[in-house]
Amino acid sequence: MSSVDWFPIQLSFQVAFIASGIALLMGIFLAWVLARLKFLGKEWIDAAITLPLVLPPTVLGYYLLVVLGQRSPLGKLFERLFGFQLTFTPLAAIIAATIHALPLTVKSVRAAFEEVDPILENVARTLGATELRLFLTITLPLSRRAILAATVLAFARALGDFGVTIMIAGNIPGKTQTASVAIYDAVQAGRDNEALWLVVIISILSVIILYTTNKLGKPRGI
Amino acid sequence: MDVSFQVMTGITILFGQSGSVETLPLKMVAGIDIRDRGLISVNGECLFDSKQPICAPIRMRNVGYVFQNLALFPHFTVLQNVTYGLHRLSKANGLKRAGKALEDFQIEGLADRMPESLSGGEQQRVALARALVTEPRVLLLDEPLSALDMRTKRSIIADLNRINQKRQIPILYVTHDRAEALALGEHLLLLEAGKVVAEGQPI
Repeated sequence: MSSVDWFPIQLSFQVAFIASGIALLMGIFLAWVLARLKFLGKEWIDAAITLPLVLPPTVLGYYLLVVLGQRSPLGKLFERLFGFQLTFTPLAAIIAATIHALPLTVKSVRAAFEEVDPILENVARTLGATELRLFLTITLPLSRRAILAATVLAFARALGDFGVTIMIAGNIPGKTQTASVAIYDAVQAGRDNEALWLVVIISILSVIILYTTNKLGKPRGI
Repeated sequence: MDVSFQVMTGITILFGQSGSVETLPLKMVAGIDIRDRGLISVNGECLFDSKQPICAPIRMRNVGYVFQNLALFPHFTVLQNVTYGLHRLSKANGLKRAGKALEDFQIEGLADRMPESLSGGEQQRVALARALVTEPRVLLLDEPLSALDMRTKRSIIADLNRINQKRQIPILYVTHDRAEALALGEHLLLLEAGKVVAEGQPI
């Protein structure tokens, strides 16, 4: 027990927290754009956002490597700006988890926004509300349960990502090795005890998080 | 649809039996539905003119609108619903105005209740108070009382008329119910196939 390495678990949770937070904010923005604005090519953007949901994770990871890798224009620009390469860093793990989680938040939040009665929004407009005010006071609060549920799903997805992470963040112990990757690594190397501990700890923490969010998401009694 | 009419202060009934067509003038006055051609002005101020062109956004038109389903904000209390349109006032002034509106419609006891816990008649009163508290220049009512019995309708209309004595704004009231059309308005417009076919006082 004393030999349990907490680093992969800590990294996984850090990555999942940050990634689901980013996926949530981006998800709310993109969902609003897709639900409320009319423009050409909207369904193409929707399809592009949904793609990570259906692509095999290794394929997605490969694309990201091509786009963000050290030989790509984006990768080079990043290295010039920040002085280190993006791939095979914890930041790459966050990007992997965010892109993997984003379709879930966009899809569910968009559906929630579209379910808000447009008449309620028109009432708010006749009462002098700007689009921003009506979004913050009517649309967002009325979608809050769906948004909470989407965040939990995004978190779970980010926590469990394996394929994309191993492709662009790699398997560097103490640097980019998340829990999912560490479990795979331990099983491969025959360190069954270590794998078991990681599995148990991740499972318990996940159940606690699910339970807590379910409690928080319950409608208030009347 | 090819409709042209003028209304004075007091309640004008738009009566028709063709379903949703009668609602269209209301939506156009509010700016919710925008058509290619038309002219809408209130008290000499132009809200929409396809020739100019002028098209004021909904929030700048200052109209009160009560929808058929009332559309009370379900996550707000009665008081929060009524103060929603008063966000430009200071908190104290807003509360004072809202308190007065609740009194006018005899619902001051419901201030802290949630909409879903109210009766149909109470919800109507909240919707009317919310629409009138901002002192709109015209009040648009889309079958707001259709679900109520005649006694409650009359009592709400009496309150509405009493309140309008002071401010004297035009009220456009759409209904598909003949009895309601004849009983409640001072002025009646009969719409058929998208045209005004008769106009006058109900007898």
